[in-house]
Amino acid sequence: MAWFVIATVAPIALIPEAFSQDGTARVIQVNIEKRKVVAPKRAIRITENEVVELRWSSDEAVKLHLHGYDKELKVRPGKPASMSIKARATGRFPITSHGWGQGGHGHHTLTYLEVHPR
Amino acid sequence: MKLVRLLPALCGTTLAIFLSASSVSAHAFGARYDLPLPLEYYLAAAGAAVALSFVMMALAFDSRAVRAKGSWIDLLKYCPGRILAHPITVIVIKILSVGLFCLVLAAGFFGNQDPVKNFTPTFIWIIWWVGLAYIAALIGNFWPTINPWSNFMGGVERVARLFGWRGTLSFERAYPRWLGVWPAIVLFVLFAWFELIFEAAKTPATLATSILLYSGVTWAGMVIYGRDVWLSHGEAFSLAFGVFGRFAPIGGRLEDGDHSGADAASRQWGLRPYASALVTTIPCRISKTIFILVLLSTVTFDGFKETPIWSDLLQAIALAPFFHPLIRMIHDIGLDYFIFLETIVLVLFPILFVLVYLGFAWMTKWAAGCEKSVIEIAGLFIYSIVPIAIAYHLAHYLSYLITSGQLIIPLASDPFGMGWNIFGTAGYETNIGIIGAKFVWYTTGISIVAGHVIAVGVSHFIALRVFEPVRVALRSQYPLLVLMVGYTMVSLWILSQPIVGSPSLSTLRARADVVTMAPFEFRELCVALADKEKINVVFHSRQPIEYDIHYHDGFTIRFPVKLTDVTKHADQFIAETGRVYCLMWFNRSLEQTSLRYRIIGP
Repeated sequence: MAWFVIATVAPIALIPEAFSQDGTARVIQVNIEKRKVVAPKRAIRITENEVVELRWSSDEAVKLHLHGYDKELKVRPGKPASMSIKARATGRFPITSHGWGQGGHGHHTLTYLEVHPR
Repeated sequence: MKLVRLLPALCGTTLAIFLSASSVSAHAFGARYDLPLPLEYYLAAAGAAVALSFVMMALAFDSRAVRAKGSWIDLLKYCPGRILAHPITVIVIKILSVGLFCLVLAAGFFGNQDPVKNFTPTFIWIIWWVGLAYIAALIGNFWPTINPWSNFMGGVERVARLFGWRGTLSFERAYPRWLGVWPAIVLFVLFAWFELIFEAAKTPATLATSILLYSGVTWAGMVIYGRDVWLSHGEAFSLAFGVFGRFAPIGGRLEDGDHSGADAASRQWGLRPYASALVTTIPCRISKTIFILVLLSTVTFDGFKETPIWSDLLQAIALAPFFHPLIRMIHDIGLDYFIFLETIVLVLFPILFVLVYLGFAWMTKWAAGCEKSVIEIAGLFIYSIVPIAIAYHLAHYLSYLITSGQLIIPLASDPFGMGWNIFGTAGYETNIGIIGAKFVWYTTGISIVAGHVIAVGVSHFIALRVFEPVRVALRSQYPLLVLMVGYTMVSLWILSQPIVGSPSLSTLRARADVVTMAPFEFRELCVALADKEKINVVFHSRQPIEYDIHYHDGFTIRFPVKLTDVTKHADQFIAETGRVYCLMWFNRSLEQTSLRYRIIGP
């Protein structure tokens, strides 16, 4: 039982940025260079019900697709673009690129948006 | 994101390959957005499973109670049961099942070919295959009643009889005993390959064609050997749902040793304790034992192939210079390298399962010091590991079924994807927040632990019924306990891994570069071109080099351009149709070369 208590508390304790309670969106800068995400290195981690703004920059024109939340965004070199998300659903959602040489089928996964429960 | 971490290292050194070939989706169809099971849940469930195993070992079961006939409540004695099992209700259900089968085929062939706008992929992969397995395991196996192949055959027979036909529509040839359930094993492996590896399995027309092919085989089997004989030996899904259905609380009153899949064909419906039908004292035949292991191994393989380790392993193999000649050979034959590799693993997985299981069966025999053969022991305890697989299946697919399964709501109103709105639900949008990650994690933990404990219990009951005295029965359980703990840990480990797609490196390349290439090294670059779009490719290599432009067509590769021994090249390429084309260079010489290339295009 103790483990379950820890399990409930741990995700919240691990992500202090989660508490942006002032109503403004937390801004996360995501940079694409040479067709890969250079920062943040791992998946983009946010917390359930958080409001975030993903600010994308890319050195090449690209169309992004956030699966699950089903949001699309066009980014051009020198013209960063933003995607705002109200994280109502938990999960691990792929962000894929369209418009580049994709794999033989489907799309190329750039990174994942991980929405962790509170 | 191990993939991302790996990339810089890879780009600098060896670069390959066919990785573009298959960014194969997680499952045959639809997306899974599960977060990995956190470490705390993982440890809690693993700890509970091990601790409860010891508790189960310490519990002294009363062997007389174990031997007593299990309780069974006849549901046909009660009114709702009688209505549901009434011949008229059953006939209506059977006609509906055949109607649904026809709808699946019609939508597949004539409907919109976009997989998410067509009824068939969602219905087959999510509702029927995943959903019905849930129902078979948790409620009861109704497949024998709704099996369209069997119902269609029965219907034709009924109609024939109206016109004065006597007898059945089957030659009733004697089924060779040595053949066991091998036809079902072969068909199930083909099905698993289709489901887990073949990318086009989600394309409506391909799916409908495959269903038609399987129907042909099934009806042929029924005509040659008789309907019931084929259902219990060759119809892979009757056997698969039959195995899951043994766990369920609703079902027929099985005679001990009845290992047929089509057990509960609506003649008997009763309530029994969960998993009680898994306790048998008459061993399964070896082919049935192997069928069950194949079924379990594909369930595990499905999860394993989405883990980062698998993705890294594929890349490591693809990038190891040792394998380059082999990869090149597969490429030259025109086969997709990743599909080739995954197929090998899909075949190796069941073999591994069978070998490991037989190893533990041998240890059980040794621990109990009994006269029975290893095959007999294996057939005796095979059902006891089924609850672990069911628990894993439930955990693995829970959010997939509930989230991606919602697609069936709009599709029911517009099965052909032609803009209909029969039930007024065509505008329904999938709610991805319907269940939270925590709910999934708790369910996962609880079902994995419960599945494990039930498995240990079933195996205990079997041992106490078969082995004398109790001391020997308990001793026989130690090897199986180790097996079960191991199996449960593997399941938990897979659930704790983040889901990643298959690797794809080729898209991450610059349009112009100078690279050095070791002997037998590849370089690949993929571009998406529109219909009749042009690109100019210019390159220069110090050593003669092989060069091609290829694209992936299903699981074969086609080569619009293929050149050998080139050192200088400047040419225009015009796309035949809009698709992804990959340019590849291969250094077949024994010396290092440097390649300078430039692609001028869209």
